[in-house]
Amino acid sequence: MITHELIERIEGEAVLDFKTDKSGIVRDANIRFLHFRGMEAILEGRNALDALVITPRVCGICGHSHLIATVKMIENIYQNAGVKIRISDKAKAIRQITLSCELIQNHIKWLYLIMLHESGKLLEKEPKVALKALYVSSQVNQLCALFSGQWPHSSYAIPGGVTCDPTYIEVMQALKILSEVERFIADEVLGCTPEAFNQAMSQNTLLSLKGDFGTVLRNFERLGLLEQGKSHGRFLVLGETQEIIVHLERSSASSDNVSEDISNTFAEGGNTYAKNALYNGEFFETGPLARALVQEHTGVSALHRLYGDSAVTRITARVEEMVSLCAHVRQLLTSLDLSQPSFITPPSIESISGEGLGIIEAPRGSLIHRATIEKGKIVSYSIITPTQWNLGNGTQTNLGVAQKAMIGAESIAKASLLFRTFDVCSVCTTH
Amino acid sequence: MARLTKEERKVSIMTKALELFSKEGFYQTTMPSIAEKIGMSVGNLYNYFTSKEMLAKDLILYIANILGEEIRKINESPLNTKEKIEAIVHMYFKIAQERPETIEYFLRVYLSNREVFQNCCEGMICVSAFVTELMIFFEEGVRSGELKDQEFFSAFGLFMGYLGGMVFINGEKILPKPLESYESSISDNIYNALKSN
Amino acid sequence: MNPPSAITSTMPSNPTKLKIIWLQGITCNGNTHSFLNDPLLGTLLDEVEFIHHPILPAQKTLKEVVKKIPKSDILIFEGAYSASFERAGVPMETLLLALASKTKHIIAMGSCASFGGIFKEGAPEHISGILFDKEQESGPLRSMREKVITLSGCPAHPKWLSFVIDMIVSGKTIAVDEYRRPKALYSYLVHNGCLRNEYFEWKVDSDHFGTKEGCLFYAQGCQGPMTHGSCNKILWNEVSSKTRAGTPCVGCTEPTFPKSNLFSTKTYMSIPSEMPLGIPKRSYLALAGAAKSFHIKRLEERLIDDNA
Ligand code: SF4
Ligand code: SF4
Repeated sequence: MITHELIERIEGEAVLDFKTDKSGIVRDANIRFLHFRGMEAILEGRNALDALVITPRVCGICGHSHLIATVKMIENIYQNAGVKIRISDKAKAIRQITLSCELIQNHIKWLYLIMLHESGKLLEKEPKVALKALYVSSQVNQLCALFSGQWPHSSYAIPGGVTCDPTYIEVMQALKILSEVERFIADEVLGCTPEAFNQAMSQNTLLSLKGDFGTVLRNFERLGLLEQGKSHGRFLVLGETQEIIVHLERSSASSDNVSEDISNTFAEGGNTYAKNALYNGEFFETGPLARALVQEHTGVSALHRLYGDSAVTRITARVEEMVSLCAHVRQLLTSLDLSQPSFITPPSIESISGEGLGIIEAPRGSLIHRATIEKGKIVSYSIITPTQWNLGNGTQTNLGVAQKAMIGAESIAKASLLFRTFDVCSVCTTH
Repeated sequence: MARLTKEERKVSIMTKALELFSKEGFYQTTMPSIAEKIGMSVGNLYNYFTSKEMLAKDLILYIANILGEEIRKINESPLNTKEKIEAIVHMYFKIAQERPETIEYFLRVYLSNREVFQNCCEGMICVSAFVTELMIFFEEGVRSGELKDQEFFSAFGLFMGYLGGMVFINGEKILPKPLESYESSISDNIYNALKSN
Repeated sequence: MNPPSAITSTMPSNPTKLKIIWLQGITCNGNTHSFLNDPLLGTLLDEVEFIHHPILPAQKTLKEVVKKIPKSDILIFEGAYSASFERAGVPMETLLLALASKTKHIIAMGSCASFGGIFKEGAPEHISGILFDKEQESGPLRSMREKVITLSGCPAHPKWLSFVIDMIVSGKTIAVDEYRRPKALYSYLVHNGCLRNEYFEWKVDSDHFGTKEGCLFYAQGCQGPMTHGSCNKILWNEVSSKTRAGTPCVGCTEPTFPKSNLFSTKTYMSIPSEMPLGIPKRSYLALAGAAKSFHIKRLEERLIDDNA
């Protein structure tokens, strides 16, 4: 039987076409995205700096990641054109702080609004709107705004640094907010200290954690989904470190091996707007799980050895990332050297021609911006989003990551929940 | 004779003072010599102007206003930029001929004795009425695509320095032909130097 | 001191919560996430309930909404409009019109919904706002213009939305400008309340990005003096704004958004091509010339020099 399931309460909407057998088990799943905005075409012909305003509008929940990818890409064009461009450590650190904030708020919203809620719904125990989670996300966004001016849709990172010039007032305020966020994660999300959380990962006792994360895992267990949702076991991290893992084998990666496959798209007679992103012609999972494995995070790696890339590992990795990122932001805030310049003026963009690449780690994984500019004007622009890796749509013999994770699920509802463990975003997937 | 208002009286004092200043220079001209020329007591003159510096400042404001007013008329006319240049050159030379003391004052008193005006006329404040109109002239010329975009002062210096220089050599009686006969070639030169390419 | 008699009052019960449907056109979801930033969201949700919301848990899924179009008190539309754009398989020309005719108030949330915004650039002939197409009042809801409140901004500020909802809940009339934006929110310019105002007054430009000092109008393209919005009055995320963080205002609340060359000021012979709103060029230049004549030492120095 074929069922078209509209997936709502993600960023945008997606359609899943399921093929089920008589007992309702999912035998095939097609992922389709039906909206397309033509962001790349909107960018072409404009001044390259305008991209700093346009690309954040690719996505309301990860627009800041697009900003940082854009700025890195433009800076890369300068370098490739043989023009020196200097960024102070302070500016680099501030960019890291605000980008991390975006990841943290994303993960909180995903855990509460999607995971907790949808898993509860399947068990017929739909929880109330998680106001506490929304409040703490707004606090994280406030921390970001202390430097970026606003969230969403800031354009404060520009080639040469950042536009803000913070004082210790902002730094102290940020540290205070961070303490509140850390307290929330310990008290509400984990129900224990970060250290105890790490131990629980290594000792495989996560299910007994008291916090809301524990509830999500227990919901998944009751649904029999904890160890479901396995995919290829191929992981990719292209921002920061460039590495891939294929069946536990690590090797360094290069963006040269990245390609886009458009054979499924409407343009080619297919039925989706989403282009697949491939590495060496294959689907790879990107995102928090890939990052934790590449960084050899003890707890997540231990879980992965036990459960492979199943739901429990994938969910835990995303929750763990909130914890690590808070620590990272704290370290950056406490070591920020305010005497350094925020911005070092580069030569005018109008004098620059060439090509560049900006890759960063966004909430859902590796995000790639690439462009060619001519005397400061954008000639071509291309964006590959994390969800193009995770939510790609392959064939029976070469399945996409989420596709593979869904096949074999006992029901369409369960397959859809597994789909959501990837933190689905349609606006990014088709931009 | 009808009684003059204080303002009118001030203007008539300024007109006389202007003649003296532009002929004798700033330092040679004194409050008593101005009073004498007008036929009023020095004490009374101080009722209108508290010092020679204040009088000098009011004069430059007065001249900048006259020039500003003239350029404003040109700015607001339907002429194109090239024709506006001709009109400004014509206006400037006409004033230089008919009321030479105004331009003389501007060149020989205001520009040559900056120390006098430093305290009361910082920067371009006292000639702002005139400079503002030229800014508008240039801005509109660039906006319409007739002039090339550049730093304001590069264009300003070229235009005004040129006209000032011509009036100066004319005053020195060096020019073989009457000033107005140079108007069209000067306008052409200015336009060619400033036009967009 | 205790009050003379203890008053035990329960919260006024609210049996008839206002019903809201939040529908998305062509969007980035930015307004949804901006809305979720409202720290008083809980209080707001005491007054209203969502029949449908794209992210927040709500009574009905979109699939259910399109099956039987429900009545509502407020329809919030986020994103740009295109007749053929579909949600849950229904094109906007049907869905938006159906929902709009069964509601009392319509809010265009964000600049895409208001004027077409960024996504209009993708297909200018087909994409518009719901009431306005850029400055033109030619959108699909023009026959219901009186019901529409415009909350332009990319995104709109969460407090702008909660203000409008509060006004509707209290049954008050909202005074609006020519684009049907609430005057209480959009009479201010972004320039009002900017910490760089003194630098603007004395024409001290910020010679490069990344400083607390200087105004961004002269070189960096700030559109604060031409842009309506209370960004610098109520601030973003309660703490900051673009200009406070040294970023030029990009004019995101205006029908002209997005303009081009957003990080530099267009000048003609050193004179800004656009004047502060309503200020004649002549007056501006006269004042600017005067202000520039003075060198104010305090404004040319760094504000805080020991931490740089
Ligand atoms: S107005 Fe801005 S924030 Fe809103 S949907 Fe459009 S691009 Fe996104
Ligand atoms: S930076 Fe912009 S908003 Fe602030 S004072 Fe200058 S012009 Fe106004």
